[in-house]
Amino acid sequence: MRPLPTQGPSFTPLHDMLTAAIPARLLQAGLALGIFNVLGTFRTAGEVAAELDADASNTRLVLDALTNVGLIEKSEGRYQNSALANHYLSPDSKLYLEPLLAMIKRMSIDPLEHPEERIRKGPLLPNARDESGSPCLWVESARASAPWALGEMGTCIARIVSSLPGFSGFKKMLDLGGGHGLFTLYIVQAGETLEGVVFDRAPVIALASEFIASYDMGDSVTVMAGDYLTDDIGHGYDLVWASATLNNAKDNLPALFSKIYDALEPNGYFISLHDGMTGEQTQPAMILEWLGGLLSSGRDLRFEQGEVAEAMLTCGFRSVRSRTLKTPLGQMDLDIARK
Amino acid sequence: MRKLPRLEIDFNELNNLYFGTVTSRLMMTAIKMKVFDHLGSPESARNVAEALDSHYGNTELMLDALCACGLVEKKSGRYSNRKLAHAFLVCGKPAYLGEWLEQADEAMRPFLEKMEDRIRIGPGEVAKAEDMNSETYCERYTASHAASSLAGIARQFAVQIEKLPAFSSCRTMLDLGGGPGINAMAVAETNPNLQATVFDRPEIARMARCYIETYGFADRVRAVGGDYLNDPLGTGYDMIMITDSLYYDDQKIDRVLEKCGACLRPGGMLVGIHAVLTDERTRPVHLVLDLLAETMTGQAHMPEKGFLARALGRCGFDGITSTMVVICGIPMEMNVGYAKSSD
Repeated sequence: MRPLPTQGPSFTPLHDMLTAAIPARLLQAGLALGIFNVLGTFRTAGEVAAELDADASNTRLVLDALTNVGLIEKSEGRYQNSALANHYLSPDSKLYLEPLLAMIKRMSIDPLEHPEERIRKGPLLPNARDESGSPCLWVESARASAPWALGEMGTCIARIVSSLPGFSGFKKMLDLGGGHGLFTLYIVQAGETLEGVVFDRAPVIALASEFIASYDMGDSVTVMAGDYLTDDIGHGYDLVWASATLNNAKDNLPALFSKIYDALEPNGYFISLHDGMTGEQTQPAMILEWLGGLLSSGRDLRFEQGEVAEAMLTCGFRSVRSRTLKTPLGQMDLDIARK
Repeated sequence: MRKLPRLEIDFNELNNLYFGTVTSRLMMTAIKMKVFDHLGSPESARNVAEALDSHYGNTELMLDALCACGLVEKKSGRYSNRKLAHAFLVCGKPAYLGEWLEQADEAMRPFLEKMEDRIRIGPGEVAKAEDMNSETYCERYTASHAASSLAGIARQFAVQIEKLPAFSSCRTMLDLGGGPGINAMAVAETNPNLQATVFDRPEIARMARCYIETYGFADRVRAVGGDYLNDPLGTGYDMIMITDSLYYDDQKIDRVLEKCGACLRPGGMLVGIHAVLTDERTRPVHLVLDLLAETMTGQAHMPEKGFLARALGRCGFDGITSTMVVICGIPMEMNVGYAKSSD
């Protein structure tokens, strides 16, 4: 006779981990079917089903499930978008996240559909030098990530930068690989006489121009097209800002950082916002977002925490202050170096 | 110059929710590859890759990611199972849940892939492989059911039932739809005078007999096969236990409860423990989300809070009570009713 097992730890977290795929899928289905487009005001399940030309009883089930997940609210049998859904999932919103979520799905989630083969056999193209995709992809990814900077992140970065000693005297800043250029717009709006230059590859820079025009900031922010690894990046900057871009220069940090050092005014700042792994490459949770791409590409461009700061010091910056920020996409490190 | 937006709300919550797919796939891949079997003591990624005959670099990435999910820990470059993985994800352990999770995953995935279709066109035809009432499905389901019962659910049901004042004097119990019989054994363990009958479909009752033999309860717990809607269930029971089983429409529930009333002795007790919908059918998560595949394909009916108390009332039971209990993190409603006394 075998004794029945006695009480051990609860297995609930395992079950929750498995079923965490359900809310993710509900969010995708909600976007694909346009559910959040029709729930700006309270509607019944029947009205939503009629509008979407969908099955009435399953529409009710899915609306109940989306309520459970917190994307919809239900009151007296009627449903409407939660504040979160109104801000980010309604196509009328400036912060519409569908393009970003679709990109994340393609790059980080879909490759994990059947990861066994990649784990057993290794990356698809071992050692292939991936130039981070096509120009179309750069533009798409810069556009999709705009809602990340708009709102809380942009405000937070402008607050940090504007509290640096000497900020009120800043005349000129460079946004290195700035993509949409939105961080520069936030920082320039926080300054008094500050002018900004957004630097990125030619196809991407058109997007920055769009945002500059839409916020009527053409007088104070200009663009510069080029490859910052090989081309001149200008000079006379009080600040060089780099957001989630240095991974592209992971193999060339000393050369790039020396170039940035030379482009700065005396006492100028070089600030980088980037990923930073801790716990022997097991933290933060953001490593999960890189996993799908990494298993397929085999090219590891992630930073260990402190790696960027160390390179800044090696290249002659006299001090580096580091802090960890909680961003909507996960935990990141901000390194502030002073010339 | 136009002012840039300043927002108090961020989309971190959406991002976390979206990445649920990654943790889910990652854990299921590791279970399938039996990764946890090799992490009983600290091992290097190289040794694990050798044991799995897998690619070293990508095995290391997987192990790091399993650490990020909290299943594995890494110290000085060596990986080992954390408590949760050690207890439930190592093959051969008494509470191994890998198969239970794999089966739940298999049941969930075809539905997840076609979720938009289900919403647009409704339940439609259920493919054979997805039919949860087929014999093969039942057998696999019962094995998984046994695993989750052994992993803690059975004991927590038993704790709740043991608290009922009438329980200590019960001598005979029917466990209706009792599956592999683990719950009945856990309840019998708390009352040495109790003789239990587990009633379920014949193929499930066959499996229950094996479990009963294995855990040494053959002298006190027996399994009977049949269809509880149509076949006789026995008579004169002191109590009937129904756990997580009555997910039908009211008409069918009434048929079952009327039969139960007839096979209890006068004054005998019926105890039902079921997950129930609350908050306008939007909670709890374990019912609304986890049963979505079944409900959207028309294979399950989710009960609302109070469903069983109302049914017991309709079927003539006395002294009906309802309380909420938490079983392995799942809020459930426990209903008790008594068959009318002969006077």
